Amino acid sequence: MLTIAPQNLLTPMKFLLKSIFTFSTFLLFFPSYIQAQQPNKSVLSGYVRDSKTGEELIGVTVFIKENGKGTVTNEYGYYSITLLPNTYTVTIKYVGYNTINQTVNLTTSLKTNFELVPLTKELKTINVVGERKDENIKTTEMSTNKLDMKTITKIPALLGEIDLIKSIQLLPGVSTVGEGASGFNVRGGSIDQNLILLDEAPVYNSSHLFGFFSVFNPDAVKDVKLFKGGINAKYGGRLASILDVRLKEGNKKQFAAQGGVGIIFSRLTLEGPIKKGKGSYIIAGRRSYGDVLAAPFLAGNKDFDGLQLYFYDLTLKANYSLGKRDKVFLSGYMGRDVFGVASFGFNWGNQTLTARWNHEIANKLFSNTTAFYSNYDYGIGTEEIGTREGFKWTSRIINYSLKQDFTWYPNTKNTVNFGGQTLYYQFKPGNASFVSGGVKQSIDLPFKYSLENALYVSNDQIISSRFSLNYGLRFSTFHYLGNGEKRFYSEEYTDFGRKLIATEKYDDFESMQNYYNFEPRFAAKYELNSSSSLKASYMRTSQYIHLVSNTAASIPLDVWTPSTNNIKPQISDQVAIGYFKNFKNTKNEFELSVETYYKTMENQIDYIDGADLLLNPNIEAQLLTGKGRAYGLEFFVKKNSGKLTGFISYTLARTERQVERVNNNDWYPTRFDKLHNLNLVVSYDLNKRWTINSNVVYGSGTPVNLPTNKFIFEGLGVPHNPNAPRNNIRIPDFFRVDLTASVKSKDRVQPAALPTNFFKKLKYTYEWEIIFGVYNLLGRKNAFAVYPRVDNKTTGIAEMVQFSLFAVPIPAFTYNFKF
Amino acid sequence: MKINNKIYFIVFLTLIFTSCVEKLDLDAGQGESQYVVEGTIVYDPLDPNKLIKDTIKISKSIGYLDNGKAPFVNDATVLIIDSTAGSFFVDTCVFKGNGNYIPTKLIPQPNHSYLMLIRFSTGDTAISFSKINRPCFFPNDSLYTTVLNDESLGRNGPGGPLKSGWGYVELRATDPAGLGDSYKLKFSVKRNPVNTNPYFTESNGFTGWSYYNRIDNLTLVSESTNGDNSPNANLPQEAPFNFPVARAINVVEDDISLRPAYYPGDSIKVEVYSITRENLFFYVRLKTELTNGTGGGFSGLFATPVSNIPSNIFAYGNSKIKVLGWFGAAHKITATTKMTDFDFNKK
Repeated sequence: MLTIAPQNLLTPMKFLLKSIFTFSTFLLFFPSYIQAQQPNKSVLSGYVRDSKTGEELIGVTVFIKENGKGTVTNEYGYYSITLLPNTYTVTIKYVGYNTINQTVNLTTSLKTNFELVPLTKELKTINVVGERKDENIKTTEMSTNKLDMKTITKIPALLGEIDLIKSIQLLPGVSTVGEGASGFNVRGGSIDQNLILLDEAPVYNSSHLFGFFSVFNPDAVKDVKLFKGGINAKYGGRLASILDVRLKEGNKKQFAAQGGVGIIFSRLTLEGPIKKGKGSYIIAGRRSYGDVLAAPFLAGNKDFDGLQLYFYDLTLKANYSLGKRDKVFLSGYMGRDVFGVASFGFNWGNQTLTARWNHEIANKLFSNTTAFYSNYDYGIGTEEIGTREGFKWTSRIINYSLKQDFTWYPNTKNTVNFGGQTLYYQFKPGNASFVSGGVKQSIDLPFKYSLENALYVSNDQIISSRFSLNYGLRFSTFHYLGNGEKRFYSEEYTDFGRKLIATEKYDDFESMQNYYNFEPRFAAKYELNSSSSLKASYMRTSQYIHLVSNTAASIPLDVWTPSTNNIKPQISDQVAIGYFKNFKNTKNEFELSVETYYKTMENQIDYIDGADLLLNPNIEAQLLTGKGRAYGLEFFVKKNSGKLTGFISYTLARTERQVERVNNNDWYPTRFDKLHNLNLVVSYDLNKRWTINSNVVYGSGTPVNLPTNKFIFEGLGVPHNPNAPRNNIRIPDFFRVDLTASVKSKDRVQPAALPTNFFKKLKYTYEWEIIFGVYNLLGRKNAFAVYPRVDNKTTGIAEMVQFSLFAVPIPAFTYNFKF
Repeated sequence: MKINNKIYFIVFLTLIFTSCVEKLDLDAGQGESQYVVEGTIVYDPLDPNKLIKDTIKISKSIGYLDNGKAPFVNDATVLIIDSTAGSFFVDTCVFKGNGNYIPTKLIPQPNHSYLMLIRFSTGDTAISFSKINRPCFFPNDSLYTTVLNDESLGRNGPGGPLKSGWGYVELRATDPAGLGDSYKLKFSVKRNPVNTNPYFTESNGFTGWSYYNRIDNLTLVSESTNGDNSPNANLPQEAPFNFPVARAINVVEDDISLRPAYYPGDSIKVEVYSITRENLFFYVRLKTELTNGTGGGFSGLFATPVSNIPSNIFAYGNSKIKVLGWFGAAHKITATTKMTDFDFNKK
């Protein structure tokens, strides 16, 4: 056996302790430092909330009329502006709410909370997008899409159920390989290159029902933001995008309930104050009933004894103010999909738990401390393994993390974000048990451990009234840890992959491999005039964990693996430039953005032909690595007001890989390469109660491997490609039209079927909404997959076949209510 | 029901009313036609003079959607050479029509190595090597018939209660000491014509051996060789074949997967071929490609990218040709048994 000396590098635990010490020192001395700065100035700070629910609002504009200075509230609804003592008119603006103009006499630093009153129903119909109307022009942020739930609810959805991920797939730069595919692809990235955060905890599989629905309960979601480029240095860990989903905090003023009954699942959300003005909670749950609906059709069929065909999820959140400067949050998610019969099935589920502490260290310095746990486990096989015949395979990934973020508002021209994070990973690549003839056998691949750390700093700087910058640096480290076995493989490949030549054992927390990366981030904005701006950005991102998958669609058997001595971290560099324009300037009725990007990717994973990825202790020996590139042009036009609202997104893009030993070492398109992607989302208010919504989705066919030839061996036709290309043929283009109509209650009504006096006493009324719809109105048979098939049993005839998931128009009906 | 089929069926349930699979008019074009060789040299101790059955078959590949017959290559010269030290022997194969070439003098021997040399009429030459590996240890009672009831299987089958006497066959072969052994298992059944069984299509009036030699019925196993990525490395070393493998010689059809395989009077024949690890990998890949996306209507969801199967036949000298197929040598062991009504007591 070859012996290799351990690397003499800073151990991860030392690094972690050093980071914690640095932070503690900083926390002690930094507040007094900033208080000593700018002694003649005062600070106006506080929270902006919804007057009806008490919910903190994210991204609200706080504007000082006299000097034109302003800021926006952060992820916790907090703002801070440094001003000379004087009397000011403060304007608070947020779409969907009445604007506040309030005079503030600032003689010393002042803490003021604002409560915005939602617009009345008549006015509300003209607003679609929950941003400041010229936000797209004014900020340095680009390649970012913010969707509020009001927008998402207007998008026709599969089976009448609105869905966050399905809505995101309509945005420019975002695509999917097919309707039933899990996850989404952003600017040429694979699905594992998206970091999906639910109240800051990563969600490793955002799919319910093989990707038809996402794990996010729309009734519990407050804010969704997708970052595709120019990502702030405070985010990291994935190559392509960050999807930041923030949960509602719950109604602080009164108890409220909402829910819906659909043909696939039902949902119920309860929220209310824990103690008025101090804290609140929200509980949201969903449960599908496919098994209940299928049962009558399958009665008497013993193959379906013990049928399980459902998913459920439960989202919880509570918050409590500990004083004027402190607030704590606790949020959690648990969900599971179960599909199977008594003898066989599979299931997967995510659990997350996030604890957060908001602390206003000084009125210019806001701190958020987060600790989270995330677990994703998945399995396939029989329910129990005893002495009965059976098979059970399980795998999981677990995270523990501690994160510290600071927002510092030194003056009106700068907003500094800085902080750090440490993440501990436990990967269980697989555990399988087989029982046959009363004999039990097990294959257990040991846990793999790793630690990821990051420190970051970034600054939003206003250089002039037209020119702004955002720049930052993220320093990330990754440590592949013991206990475990470091494996060394030969350089050359055989048909089975590389050969194991040496192993080296390591103890608990001993470092087997270390990686260090600097990730610079930069974004700039120049306003050409009050209605248009040019923006540019550059970012480097690193990714240290990888999803090993070799199937057409993401399935529960895909395995997460850390970077090791054999799998290097993925690195990406992306540049983007964009032009942003608002038309009809007084109303900003139309928004236009055009962005182009170019991205390179290193250490992209591919596989040797015939790779065996399941329960393979030497999985690393069957991986290949190469480089990738992606480039594209994205158009986005949005109509914000009027009876007709909606958006058109178009993406012209290409994404390719070059991997040694694949496609004769030439560049090849990835499985998710789509040249054209066009989405049209339209909503038309017929009157105050009736709304018609429609989607039109068009996409170029994605490439697949198809044989050009066959040869006969032992009488069977075997597919073959003489030139061994990868992804040589494209499946037919995708086209789908969806249509829904919704009708709302005229006013809030009292429940008729329940004791009216009871509700009168409680002063409860409710609103209702009924949604009728048709998904795939034209019944087009869009190909999800195309594959070759030879009838080797009878005729010997070879053909290409297409598999379509939704080949007929699918009607939908949902009833929603809100107390 | 096989596990893969169950996955597809469960997915099917979720999509029960909305999805469809249909033929697509999509032609990927046709690449260059290449030579295809199926070469076999088998040592069978029960039939040492069987060499006449060993053939080298040569054809050419055709377009994938071309549903005509693959053209045979009838004008090649084929040599089989016993290249074992001390036993050097050259045999020029005789052409027997339809692309078949047969060695006439060479008798396969255990543990011998063989070289195949083909000279095509174009002047190109191809060469390949293979070795007859040692067999597994095969006792006289290597085929053990047993009767299991539904309870011991932990499941209920369709079609009512289990009938008395129905059962399974288990293979009691043992892997020899030392690493690197690989096996290909085939089996066949001769049904007892007295019994009628609606499930077994081959019993409908047919009294000969029904061979389960389709690629998807092949069992391919090798023993773990200390992390060198052997395909299907699921055999314990120097131990009896384990249960998934030992039971793999039973009739399993999609619609009767939960039923026992055999019933009284049935004869069962098993052939175990000791093959090279590379040959095993070839068959694993062949099986994967032939069953990829064909396990049911929704297997496309789980299909892996189509990829070429490796060949061990290479261009020789100045030739630039690519040759598909495999030249494989093997040691074959055969065992036969008959199901009786009294197998309960044999336990």
